[in-house]
This record gives sequence, C-alpha cells and structure tokens, in this order.
Amino acid sequence: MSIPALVEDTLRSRAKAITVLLGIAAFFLLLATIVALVTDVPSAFTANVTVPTDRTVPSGASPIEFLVGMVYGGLAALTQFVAILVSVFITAGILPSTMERGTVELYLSKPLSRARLLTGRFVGCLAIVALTTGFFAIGMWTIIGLETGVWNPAFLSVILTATLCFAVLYTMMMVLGIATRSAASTIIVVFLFVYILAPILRNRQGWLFAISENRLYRSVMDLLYYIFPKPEEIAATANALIGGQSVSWMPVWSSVLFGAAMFAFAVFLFERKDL
Amino acid sequence: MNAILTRDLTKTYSTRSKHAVKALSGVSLEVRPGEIFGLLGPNGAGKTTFIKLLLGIIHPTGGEAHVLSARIGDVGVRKRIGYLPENHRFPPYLTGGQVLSIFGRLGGMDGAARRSRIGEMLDLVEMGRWRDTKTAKYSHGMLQRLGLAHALLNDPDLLILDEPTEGLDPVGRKRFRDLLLDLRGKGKTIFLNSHILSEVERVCDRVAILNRGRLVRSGSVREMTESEHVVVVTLAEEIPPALRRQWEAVCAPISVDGLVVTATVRDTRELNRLIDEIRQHGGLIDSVVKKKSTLEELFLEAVTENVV
Ligand SMILES: Nc1ncnc2c1ncn2[C@@H]1O[C@H](COP(=O)(O)OP(=O)(O)OP(=O)(O)O)[C@@H](O)[C@H]1O
Ligand SMILES: [Mg+2]
Repeated sequence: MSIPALVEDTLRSRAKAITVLLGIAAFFLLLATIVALVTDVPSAFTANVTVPTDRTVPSGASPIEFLVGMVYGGLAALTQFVAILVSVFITAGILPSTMERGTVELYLSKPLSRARLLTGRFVGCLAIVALTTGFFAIGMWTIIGLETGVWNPAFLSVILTATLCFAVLYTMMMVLGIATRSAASTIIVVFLFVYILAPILRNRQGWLFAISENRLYRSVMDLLYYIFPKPEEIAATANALIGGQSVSWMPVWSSVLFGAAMFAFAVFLFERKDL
Repeated sequence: MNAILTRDLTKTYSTRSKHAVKALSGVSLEVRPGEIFGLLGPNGAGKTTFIKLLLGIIHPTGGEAHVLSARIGDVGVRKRIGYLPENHRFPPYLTGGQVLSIFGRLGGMDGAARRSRIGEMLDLVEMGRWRDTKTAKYSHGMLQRLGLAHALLNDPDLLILDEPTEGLDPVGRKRFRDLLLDLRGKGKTIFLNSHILSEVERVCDRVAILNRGRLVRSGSVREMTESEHVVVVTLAEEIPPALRRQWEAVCAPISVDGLVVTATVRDTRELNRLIDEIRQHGGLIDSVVKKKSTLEELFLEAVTENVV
C-alpha cells in the first residue's frame, strides 16, 4: 500500500523531466518511422552492402539480420549511456529533498518504517529509468521489426540492463545522499566512479599493474575490481545477448551483491539519523 | 493509560562544533486521554524536539517515552496519530488533493474511505476550491490549512500540533479553536505547541512550561491561573477615611486602589473574616473574586525566574 504511493510520489516529483525525456524519445521514434516510411531499408541495404564476417553477428545471419544486429548494438550502447547519465542527474536530488526539514517529518510520522520509505524511493527511481528506456526501446524494436521483419527480443534486454545498472549506482547514491544531503556531491561522486574509477579498475591489467609488480598490490586491485560494481560490463551484457554471444554473468551478480550491501548500509545510516 | 507518557526524556544534539546542544533534559510528562494539552516555552526551549522524539523523527539520548501505550519507535501506532509539523513543506509538485491522497495512503487509509474523507477535510478547512492547485502556489495560511486537513485525515486518536495557528487569519483561528473543542468532545487527545498564550488559555485543559530543555511548571490551566490565596474585593462604597487606618491594621491588604481591594487570604474562613471586617468598618461590597493571573503573566514569571 505505501510502496505504490511512494512510487507515485517519486514519479510526480520528476514529472517534468520524465515528460521531456519521453518527448525526446518520441522525437527519435518519429524520425525512425519517417526513415522507415520513405525508404525500403532491407532492399536498399542488400543492394549495396556485402556482409563482412563479423563476430558480433551470429554465423549464418542474413544480410538484413546483420544490419539489424549492428543497429541494435549501437542503439543499445547509446540507450544505456544516455539512460544512466540522465537518470543520475534526475534522481540525485530526490532523497536530499525528502530529507529536508519540514518535509521529512511528514513522511516519517506515517506508519511506515524508514527502510520502507527508502525502498519506495528506490523503486520509484527505477520506475523512471524503466519507463523511459522501455518506451524508447520497445518503440525502436517495433519500428525496426515492422520495417525489416527481423524481431530479435534480445534487444529488449537493454531495458533490464539499463535499469539494473542504474539500480546498483542508485544504491551508492542513496548512501551519498543520506550522508551529504546534497544532490551535487552525489552526482559528482557517482560520475567520478562511473567514468574514472570503474574504467581504471576494469583496465587494471593495463594501467594499475604497470605501477608495481607487487603481488599484494595487484591482489588488492583485483579485489577492488570484484567488489565495486561494473556499470560498463553490465551494459555490455545487453550487447552480448543481442549478438547471441556467451554472456559473462560475474559483472552482473557481483554488482548486484555490491548494490544489496549498499542498500543495507543506506538503511542503516538512515535509521540512525536524526532528521 | 496515558496518551503520552515520558520519563526523564533527554535529547542532546551532537553538532560538528565541539559543544553539544542539550535540547531536552529529563522531561517527565503525562498527557491524559481526552484532554487538550499545551506545551509552552520560549524559542529554542525544546518543544519541537519533544514532539519529534515522540514521533521517532529523532532519537532520544536518554529516558523513555510511550505514545498511546506504544514505545516510541513503534511504527504501527502512528496510524492513530495526526501530526502537523512546524514550518511544514509539502512537496511543491503535488496539488492539495494529491498531498492528501498520497499521505493518506502512506497513513494506511484505504480507497473509498480515503476519497470521501479528503473532500470532507478540504471542506472543513475551506480549501475545497484549491484542491487541484499545486501547493507551490499556496499562501502561508493556505499551507497551514492544508496541514491541518492532512493531520486530521486519518481521524486520529491523538493529534500532535506544532504551532497550529501560525499563519491563520482571525476567523481561521476562531474556527480552529472550535474545531479543537469539538474534537475533544469526540474523545480525541490533542497535544499542541503554541506561542499564542491567550489561545492556549482558552482551549487547553492542562499546560506545561518548558524552559531551556527543562520542565519548569505543569498543571491544569484553571489551577495555575486561578490564585488560591489572592482575592479582589470591589466595593460599592469606600470605607470611610476615619475607619480606614484601623481596618488596614487588622486586615493588611496587599493594595487598596480606590474601590478595589486586593488581599491575601489563607482559606475560606479568612476570606469571610476579611469580608466581615470590611462590612464592620463601613464598606459596602459589590463583588468578591479570586484573583486570576493570565497565562502570560504566569509564563513570563516561570521563564524569567528560571534564568538565574
Ligand atoms: N537538528 C538540530 N541540531 C542541533 N541542534 C538543534 C537541532 N534542532 C534543534 N536544535 C537545538 O535544540 C534546541 C531546541 O530546539 P527546538 O526546535 O526544540 O525549540 P522550540 O522550543 O521548538 O523553539 P521554537 O519556539 O522557536 O519553535 C535549540 O537550542 C536548537 O538550536
Ligand atoms: Mg518549535
């Protein structure tokens, strides 16, 4: 009962941003529809292109399947990149403003535990990401399917991976938001993590290992890599699924584990706080 | 069973700077079911701190408290509590109707009952017209009215109000007082904070005065304001000057101001002796009343004597 109310509240708090995002997505969907209407993509493609042997396309794929695979791959990467970037911005202020004096009392005086309040906000933020990426991905998938006759449901996994990737990052944002009560510092730290620390850890063999050959040092770096979430690799999962390649699930479950720990820590911090 | 019961409730805020703020020290208080209880005190006395402790918004550093027989921190009991925070800020992106709908659901109210109750409460605070306007566009008093509607929404057994009449116009205040008395008639308990002592005096059954985190006085409003030992006798005719000195020697009044005599009496017997003496010395009595001090006088006295 209280979770749906909190989700509705969270969505309403970002109604304008969600509307703008859906509007932008609708614009691109419209553009794609126009392209599909004015050109006959499959025949134009088969007439002009010979299929290279590329490992992102399952062997034995027809030229048009190859094309759709390419487009899906690009769209998946783009969708997830934009979704994460934008949703971190949109959602970072939600907890700090819930915790503002005069507002937090209204929520906390209700028969609702603090853990549940956080859960409601968490689900609400995930709903924002799932809704916007879902709208765009399902739209694109439908348009491409109708135009080319190729229906690869694996593309829709971007909705899941984008939401999952955001979910893990959001648990970090919850801890930061509760500790600092500031949207700006939350955004800064999350972006530093996603665009600097995570890539460094991921490429530790190339970069970090060059610094020292010490085995302890290298083990610590490895450990850090396994502990911290792996946004890039979660996103890459969708591409692997689309391409029909084997998927490495380690980045997914290790990130989920990290997220669960962060969530618990956020609840712990929030429970103890005087508001 | 008490509506609110605290024993040695203490709260020290730890701040970044070295000195911690002791906002509440050892407050033991009892609020009985069905009464209107006022907590008074100067700015920074700890009134809001006390309320926030009761609702689990902040955690005590000492002592204990029970609300509606449940320990503070018991989330479920909040279903039966209505709370109006001081300087509350409703989410500005919600309309008045949405505020009540969302917080009503968070309060555990279900569908049909909630919907009919929302309309009722908005009408009660005369905000029906503004139901579909975002609260960002509300005036101060309108926000306060919505806050009251929100606090009353779940038909609470215990109503906790922090500065409830803040921002209300005179008509609104009058209606608010009537509302409180009406609620008390229905057996509800009301706990409120206010700086408007004339109002507190009119509606509260009992009050407590808090100063610098300590409880300095508490009791029923009537007992506190009605002084047992001081009476005011108004005369229709003065005691003739010739007898007056003699009378004063016997009765030793606090003051004689024209026709108004103020005197201390220990009991009823002494009061009657005073009246006899006035009559025997030629005074003609018009009325005798026990002296009443206003809550304001009492408050100032309690708060200043504690400063030293
Ligand atoms: N979050 C906090 N951190 C540190 N100190 C605080 C905090 N909240 C309140 N205080 C301090 O606790 C004391 C009591 O504050 P409180 O808000 O309870 O006063 P009050 O009686 O409600 O005053 P007012 O009549 O002005 O509303 C004050 O000295 C205040 O500075
Ligand atoms: Mg206060």
